[in-house]
Amino acid sequence: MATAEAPISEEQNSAILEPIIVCRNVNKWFGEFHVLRDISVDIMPREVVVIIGPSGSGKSTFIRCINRLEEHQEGDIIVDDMVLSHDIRNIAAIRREIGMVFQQFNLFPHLTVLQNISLAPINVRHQPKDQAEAKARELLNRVGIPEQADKYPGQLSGGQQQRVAIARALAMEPKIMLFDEPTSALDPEMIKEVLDVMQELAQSGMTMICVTHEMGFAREVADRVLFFDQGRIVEQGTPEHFFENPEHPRTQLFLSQIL
Amino acid sequence: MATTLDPNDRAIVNYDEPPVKPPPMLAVGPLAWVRENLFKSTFDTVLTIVSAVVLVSAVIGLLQWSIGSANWFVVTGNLRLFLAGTFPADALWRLEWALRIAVFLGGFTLLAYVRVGPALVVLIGVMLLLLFAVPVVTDATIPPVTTYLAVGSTPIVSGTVTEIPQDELAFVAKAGETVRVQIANLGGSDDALSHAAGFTDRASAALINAVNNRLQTQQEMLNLQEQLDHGLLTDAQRADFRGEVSTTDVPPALTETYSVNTTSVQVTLINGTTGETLDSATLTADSAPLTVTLPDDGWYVLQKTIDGDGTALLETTGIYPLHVRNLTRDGVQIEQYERMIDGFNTEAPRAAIDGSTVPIIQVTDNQYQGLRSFGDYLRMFVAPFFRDLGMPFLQLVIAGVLGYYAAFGLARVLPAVPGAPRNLGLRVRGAVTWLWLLYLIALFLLAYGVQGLSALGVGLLLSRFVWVGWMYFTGMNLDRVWGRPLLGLVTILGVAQSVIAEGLLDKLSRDPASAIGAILGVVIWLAIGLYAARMGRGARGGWTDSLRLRAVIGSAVVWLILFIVPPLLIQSTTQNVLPLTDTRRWGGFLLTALLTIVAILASFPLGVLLALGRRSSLPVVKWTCIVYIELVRGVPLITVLFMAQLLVPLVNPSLAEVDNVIRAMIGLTLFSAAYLAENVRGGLQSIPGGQEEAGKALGLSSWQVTLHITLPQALRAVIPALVGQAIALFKDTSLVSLVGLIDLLGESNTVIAQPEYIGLRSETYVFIGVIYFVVSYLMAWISRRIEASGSGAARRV
Repeated sequence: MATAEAPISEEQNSAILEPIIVCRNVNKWFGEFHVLRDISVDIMPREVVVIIGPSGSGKSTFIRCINRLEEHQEGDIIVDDMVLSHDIRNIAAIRREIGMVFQQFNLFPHLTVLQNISLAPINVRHQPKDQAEAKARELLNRVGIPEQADKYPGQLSGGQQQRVAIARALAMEPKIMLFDEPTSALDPEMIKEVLDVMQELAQSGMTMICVTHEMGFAREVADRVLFFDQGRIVEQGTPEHFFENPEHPRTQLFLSQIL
Repeated sequence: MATTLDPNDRAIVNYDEPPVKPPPMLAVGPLAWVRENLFKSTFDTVLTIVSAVVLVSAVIGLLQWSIGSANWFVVTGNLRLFLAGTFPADALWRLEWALRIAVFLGGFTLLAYVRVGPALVVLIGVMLLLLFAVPVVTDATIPPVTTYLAVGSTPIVSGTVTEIPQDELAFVAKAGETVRVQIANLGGSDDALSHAAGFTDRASAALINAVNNRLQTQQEMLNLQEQLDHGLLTDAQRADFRGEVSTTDVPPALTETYSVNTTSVQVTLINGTTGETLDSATLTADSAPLTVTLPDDGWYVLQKTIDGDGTALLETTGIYPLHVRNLTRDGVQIEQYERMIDGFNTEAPRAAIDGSTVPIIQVTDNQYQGLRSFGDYLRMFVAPFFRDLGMPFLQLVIAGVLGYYAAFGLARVLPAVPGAPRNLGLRVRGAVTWLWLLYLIALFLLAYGVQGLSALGVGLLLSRFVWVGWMYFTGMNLDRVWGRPLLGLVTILGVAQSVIAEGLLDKLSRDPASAIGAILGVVIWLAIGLYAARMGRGARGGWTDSLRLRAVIGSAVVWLILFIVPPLLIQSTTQNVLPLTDTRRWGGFLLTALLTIVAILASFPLGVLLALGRRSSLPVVKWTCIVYIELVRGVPLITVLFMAQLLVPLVNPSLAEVDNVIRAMIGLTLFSAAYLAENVRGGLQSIPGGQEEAGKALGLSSWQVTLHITLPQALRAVIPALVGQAIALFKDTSLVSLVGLIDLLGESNTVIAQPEYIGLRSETYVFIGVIYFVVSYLMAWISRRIEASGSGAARRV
C-alpha cells in the first residue's frame, strides 16, 4: 500500500506510486437526470486536483461520490485499493481515509471547537481523550487559531469556522482531503486565511481534490485542473495549459466569462 | 449649510458639533413604556382600560371572598392528607427527608445554573420574616376571634328552626390561655346584630339568622314601595307588587321580641376535669368582662343563666367549636376533640357535670358567621398556618443553603472548565445531572421502601457506590509508579466487599445453584468499577497531581467509614430501615408527584427510541413505531388509564396482582412516550442535513452520529416542548382520580365529602389549583434556565 509519509523525490513518486483514487466510467442519476456521465479519472498520491465548472455541472456530486455521501449507480470508484460498494465496512474504511470540508462548514454547534475536532478520533479511532485533545490543539495551532479551542462554533467568524472544519478533518489523519467550495460562503476578507491553510496543506504533500471558484488558488497550487460541464470532464490539464491555452470552446467561454 | 453637492465643490465636510441633548420626556423611562405599551392607539387604550377593570374587579372579588367568607379550615386542617394522603405516619420521616434532600440538591443546582443575586436572598429573608413575625405580631396586636353564645330560656325561632339556648357549654383550651366573657355590645338594635361576625352556638346563630331575614324582608318591602311610588310600572305589575306588600308583614325588631341584653347574666367557669369552680360573675351590659386565665390543658365548662326573662348574647373569646374525630389506634376506638381554629386537641373524655356530659359546639353546624374582618382572617388562618410552616421552612432554607455551599466547596476543588476558568457553576454541572438522577431513584425507594434493607445494608450499598468513585480516581493516577499496584489493590478490596455483600461464600456453601445471582452481582460491580477506572484514566486531564491524590485518599476514607463502621454497630442496625409501604396508601401530592416523575423518566428513553424508530429506514421498525404513536395519540388518556386498571387484569388475571399505582404509572408512561416521540422527531427534523453528512464524512457510524450529533441538538431544540409536555402530564395525572387512585384531586374530593367540610369545594379546589400552578410554573422556570445555560451558543449558528 502506498504511503505518503516519507519524503520521496518527484521521480520516485511517479515511478513507484499507483493512483490513490481510480474512477472508471462513473455514472449517476438524480431520478431521470443524468448528473455524472462516464467520469474516468485517476488521482495520484500527493496530487492536488482542482475541479472547476459552471454550477450544476456535477462537480460537487462527483467529490461527494468519492466518500459515498452520494451513491453512484454505474462504474467503479476505488480508493486506496478499496472498492466503493454497498459493503458498509468498505465505506467506513474509506471514510476514515478521506477528510472532507464543506461549503457550509457543518461544524457541530453544540460542541466546543476542541470537542468538534476530537470527537471522531475518540469515537472512531478510539484514542484516549487527552491524547485526542492534545492532537486537536496541535492542529488548531497549525490552522492558526490555537486560542479559540474552548469557544463554540457560533462564537467564531466564518473564516475561523472553516479553518476549524479543516482541522477537524485532519484530526482523523486522512490520506485524501476533499474540499467542496470551501470559500464560497465566506466574506471576501476571510477567503485568504482559508486558502493559506489549504496551500500549506498542499505543500505538506496531502492528496487534495478541491471544487472551487478561486482561480488564483487553482493557478498557484493545483497540479491538475479538471473542467466539468454537464456531468462530464470536458478538459483537463496543468494550470498553465488550462489558463493560458484552453482548447475546448466551452472552457474558453467559461474562462472568458470569469477572468 | 448646503445639502446638495455644489458643482464647484468636490466634497462636503461638516465640522459642526451639534450639542448632545437628553431625549424628550416621552421617549424614555416609564412614561414612554406606558405610552408605547398601554396607550399607543385608541384600540390599545380601550383594551388597557377594559382589561384593567376586569383584572382589578376579579382580584378584588377573589380577595374579598378569600378574606371575608372562605373557610380555609378545610385546607389547614387536612394539610397532611393533601400532601401525602394516608401515608403511614411512622414512615412520614422518609418523605420529610426526601423533601430536605430535594431542597439540598436545589441549592446545589442553584450554584451550577443561576447567579444568586440579592433578590433571591431578600425574597427568602422576607418569607422567613413573615412566617415567624406574622404569628407573633398577630397574637400581640389582634384580639382573638369572637364566639357568640346565647343565654336565656325563650326558644329562638328562625324560619323552621327553633333553638333553646344552652345553660352549659363544654370546651377545650390550653393552659395559659385566657377566656373572656362579656355581654355583646351589639345587642342594642337589629342592625347592629346583623353585623356580628364570629363563631356562634346554635341559638345565637338562629338569632342572627332571624335578624338577617327580618332586615332583608324589610329592605325588600322598602324597595317594592319605592317602585310603587316612583317606578314606571304596568298595571299588572302594580297589582302584583301591591298584593305582595299587603300580604307580607315585617316582624317587629327581634331585639325587642326577645328582649336582648336587657337583664343581667350569671356566668361560672368550671374546670371540666376536676369540677372546681374557677370564677364566676354577674354580667350586665356595661360591667367589666369576666376574664380567667386557665391553669391546664383540657376540658372546661361555662355555665350561664339569665336573671329573669329575655335573652342575652354573650361575646366570648377563648371558646371555640370542636371537631370530633373517631380514630382507631391499636385496635381501640378513641374519640379525639380538636379545636378547628388551631388544631389543639385532646383525647380526654368529655366533661361531665353530675354524671351527664355537657354539650359542646361542633364545627359541623357552627361555622364562622358573618363577613370576616381581616384581623379575624389573620388570627384564624394566616397566623396558625404560618406558625406550622415556619420551622419546616427554616429547615428547608438551611438545607438549601447547605446544598449551595456544598456545591461551592466542590467547585473550589474541581478543575476549572476550559474557556471559563472563573465560572464555579460550570464545574459542578456534570455532577448536578447525576445527583438528580440518583435522587429520583432514592426518592422512589424512600417512598416505596426496600425489602430487607438494614442500616448495615445501607452502609454496604453506599460504600459500594463510593468504591466506584474510588476506582474512578484511582484510574486517574494510573500514569504514576504506584498507579497499577493501587488499582489492583482497590479492585481486590471491591471484589471482596461484593462477595461479602452478596453473601456469596454463604450461598456457595449451602447451595451452589443459588449463588449464580450473587456471582453475577459481583461480576457486574467489578465491571462497573473497572469501567469507572477507565473513565477516570481518560478524564485525568485538568486535575492537578495533588488533587488526584487527595481524591483517592478521600474516597478511601469515606469507603472505610461506610464499610467498617456499620458492622461495629451491628447489634442496633439489623432491623429493616425502609419497610415496604402499601402503594394503596400513597395519596395526595405524593402520589401526583411520583406518578409524574416515574412517567416522565420512563417515557423519555421510550419516546426517544420511538422517534428514532419512526425515522428508521427499516420498514418494520418504522411502521411499528408509526402505528404505536398514532394509535396512542388517537386515544384519550382516560381510556388508557381505564384499560390499565380494568381491561388488562381481565385479559391476563396474573396482571391483576400488580399494584394499581404501578399500572397507572405504566399507562401514563406509554401514553406520554407517544407524544414525546413526536416532539423529539420534530427536533430531529430541525437539524440541518449537513450535520449528519459531516458526521458520516468523519467516519462516525449512524448510531454515533445520532448519539453525539443529531440527538443532543434535537433535544436541546425541543426543551420547551418537552417541558410543556411534562407540565401537561403533571396536570393530566389528576385523571387517575377517576380510576380509583387518590391523588391530589382525589384527595380533595375525599376531603369535601366529609360532613364537616361539606360545601367547601371552592376553597379546596383553589388550594390544589395553587399547588398545580406553583409546581408547573417552577418546571417552566427551570426549563427557561436550562435553555439559557450551557452551550447556548449552539443556537447562534
